[in-house]
Amino acid sequence: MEPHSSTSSSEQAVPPPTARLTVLAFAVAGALVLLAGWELVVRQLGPVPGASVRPGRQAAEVFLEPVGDGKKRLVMFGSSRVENGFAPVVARQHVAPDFDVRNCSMPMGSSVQMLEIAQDELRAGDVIVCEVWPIGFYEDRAAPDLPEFAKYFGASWALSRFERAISDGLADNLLAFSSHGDPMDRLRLTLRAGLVGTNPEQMNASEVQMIDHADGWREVILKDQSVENWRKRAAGNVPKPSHLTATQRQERFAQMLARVRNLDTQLAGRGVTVLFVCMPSSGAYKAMEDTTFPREQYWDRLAAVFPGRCLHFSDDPVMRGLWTPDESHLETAGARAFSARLGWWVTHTLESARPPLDP
Amino acid sequence: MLFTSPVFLLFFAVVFLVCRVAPWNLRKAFLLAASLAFYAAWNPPFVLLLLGSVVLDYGLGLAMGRTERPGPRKALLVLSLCGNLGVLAAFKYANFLSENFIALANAAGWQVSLMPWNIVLPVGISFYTFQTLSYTIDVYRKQIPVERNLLDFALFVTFFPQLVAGPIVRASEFLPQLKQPRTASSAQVAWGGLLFIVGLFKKAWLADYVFQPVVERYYEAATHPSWWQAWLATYSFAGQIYCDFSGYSDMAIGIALALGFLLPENFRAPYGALGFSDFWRRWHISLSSWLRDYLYIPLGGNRRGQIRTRVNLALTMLLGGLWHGAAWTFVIWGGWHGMLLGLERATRKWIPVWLKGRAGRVLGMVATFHAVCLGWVFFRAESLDHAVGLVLTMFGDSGPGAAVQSRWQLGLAAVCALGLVGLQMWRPNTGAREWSIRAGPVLTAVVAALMLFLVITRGSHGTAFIYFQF
Repeated sequence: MEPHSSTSSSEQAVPPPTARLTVLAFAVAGALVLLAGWELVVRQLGPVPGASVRPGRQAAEVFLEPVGDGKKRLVMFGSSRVENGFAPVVARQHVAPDFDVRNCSMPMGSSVQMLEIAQDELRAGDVIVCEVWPIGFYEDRAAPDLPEFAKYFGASWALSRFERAISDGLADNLLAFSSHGDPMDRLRLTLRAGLVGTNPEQMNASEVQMIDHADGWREVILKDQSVENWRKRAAGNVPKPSHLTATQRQERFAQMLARVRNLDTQLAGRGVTVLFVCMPSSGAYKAMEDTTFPREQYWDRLAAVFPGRCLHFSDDPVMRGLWTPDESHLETAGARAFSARLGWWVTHTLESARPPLDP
Repeated sequence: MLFTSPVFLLFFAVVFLVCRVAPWNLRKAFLLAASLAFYAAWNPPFVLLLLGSVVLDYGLGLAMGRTERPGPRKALLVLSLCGNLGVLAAFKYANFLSENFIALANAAGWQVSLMPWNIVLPVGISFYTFQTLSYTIDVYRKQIPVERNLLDFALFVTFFPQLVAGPIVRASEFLPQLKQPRTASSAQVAWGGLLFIVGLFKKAWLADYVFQPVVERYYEAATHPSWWQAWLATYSFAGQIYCDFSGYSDMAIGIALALGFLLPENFRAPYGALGFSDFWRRWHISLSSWLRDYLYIPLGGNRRGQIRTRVNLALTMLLGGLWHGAAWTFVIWGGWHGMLLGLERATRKWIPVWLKGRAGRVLGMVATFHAVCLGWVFFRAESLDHAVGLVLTMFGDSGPGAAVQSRWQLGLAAVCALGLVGLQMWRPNTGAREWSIRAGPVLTAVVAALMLFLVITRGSHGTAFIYFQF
């Protein structure tokens, strides 16, 4: 902190000779012309294949879709495991008809963080199923798209409905305003095509087909059904465990658990039920999860805090037999079976918790 | 309400138009109302806290003006310090203090447990607290007259362009501007608009689009970056925090200028700094000059011998670090800079002559930048352990490497970081004003148009500024 002269604000009192209203007007007009031209170019070329969609926005929109009269929400929050593995259209057949079932998930999404953000929108009778993706849940990791998700709720610096209407309206109607119109993405693909002759999205497209349903389910249809081929592909895809020490990891989990307990108490007071589900994984991925997050130190502690409201796939005869081709996500058939079973379990759990009727 | 959100443009358009036509006193009243509405858009109840701060310091200033006796004046100053710093401590440091108390008590063998309080940090509290404190201290020192107009004083504290993330404006700089009617000239409106575009580009494109994904990928506590990934993430964070914060400052200065008010410059090519005292002349200038005038100099500055000077430097920087956040990582960051400043003072006279040449200057700038980057690791890391782990990774204890999500993203961040730092080292004394003069009006308009185009087409808007949390 050496003595130095304060910057004088008088510097700005004399704007540079280039500071003319015509310069500003030309800059704005130039940007508009560029935008108009770019819109035409993007419409001509079509959207960038595989350009980043906005999963945070999608998850928020699925959640915020108005609930029909006399209906309650049954929402599953979570990561891409939920995105691919939970089919509301199937679960709906196994729960009470007054439930409006939704899949509200995003890549690497932590269900608790999503619930914390969305809590003010919940009403009496709503049921929330929180996915326990060990890495995201126990370590309380923030998903990359969480800030985008948060913008749609009444949290700090949330976008107002008015702002959302403007920015989403522009993005929905003009490609230049959406991520499909991102000139840097186009440049990336052009460069890649020039250097490599293809782009990675085309390679993925040869293995799987993705169908995005309006209720949030991203259905994965395998083009290659060979278990052996998928085993080879899955090898080496296991994420590395965090470099937190075991003690640090447990501290994070303990803090998170205390937070969830508080949140659950508040929500229960408002008539909202929260359930927890650990979805199927297999192979080396599951081995990593089991080693990094030993069940007795993590899952069992969670289940002890919320007795009768937690379901681990390995405890369920149907769920533990489901196939996860990449060791972490369910494909179509698995997702349908999982969703049916989850619907049955939710119904069963809610009925068990209901107080007996008066004679 | 964020400067980068569409609704702010509508808000500003209304404020701008009213300020062009309304008479002076009405204009000031309208600006105060608009500032409170701007703040209330975040969390309405906290407007009361802001107004409480205004009333407290306004009242204490008036009381100070009524007496010449040193005793009561000092008591009033202490009251202001306790009131302002007490509120800041309650909202910002309560959990930090209780956590450390519990840790200490447990270490001493007492079993103490306290649930963390669920405290919402009022946005901008660190900024407006320092701003009001500077007023009462200056009045106490008789460096400025007592402000008797409540409207003027309230507008000085709450003026929306700088309310939530600075620059920290001194009463001596701002209050005189409220004494005479001011209307921005067309050149000021134009320059304010261009500065806003530059700030918007820095924040929305460079900070959020280019740098943030790389930083979040490799600074996630759970990843194991390799040495090069850790370095790239740190360079990216250096770029992100500079573009985020200086982008906000540029927008704030531009908005104020378009309304006819002058705010102090807050950044001047900090990565082109040669040495650490030079860095602090260029980085967050309004905070570093505040700390110098209200902390370092009152502690004795450099007037009480070498050892005391270094102690003063260290103490000032430690508190400066703590100002940024209630965590040990910020204290370490402040301590690191205090140590570097002390080291620089101690070794200044032994710097060899060859280092004062052109090559030596470049080497000095690169070394300064890298030392600053090491400090950023502590500033950004989630915990002390995480920061130490990252520093070890950067110096050879390389992790297995996190999966690379997008080579394009990494390449873009590397090129932009290199460009940003290279430009500042190449022309460390050239600001936006000078660049614009060099470029001429046509190139200035073309560059500004391109910046706007990239900002609008990037697809996602509305990420809060990093410094809102401080």
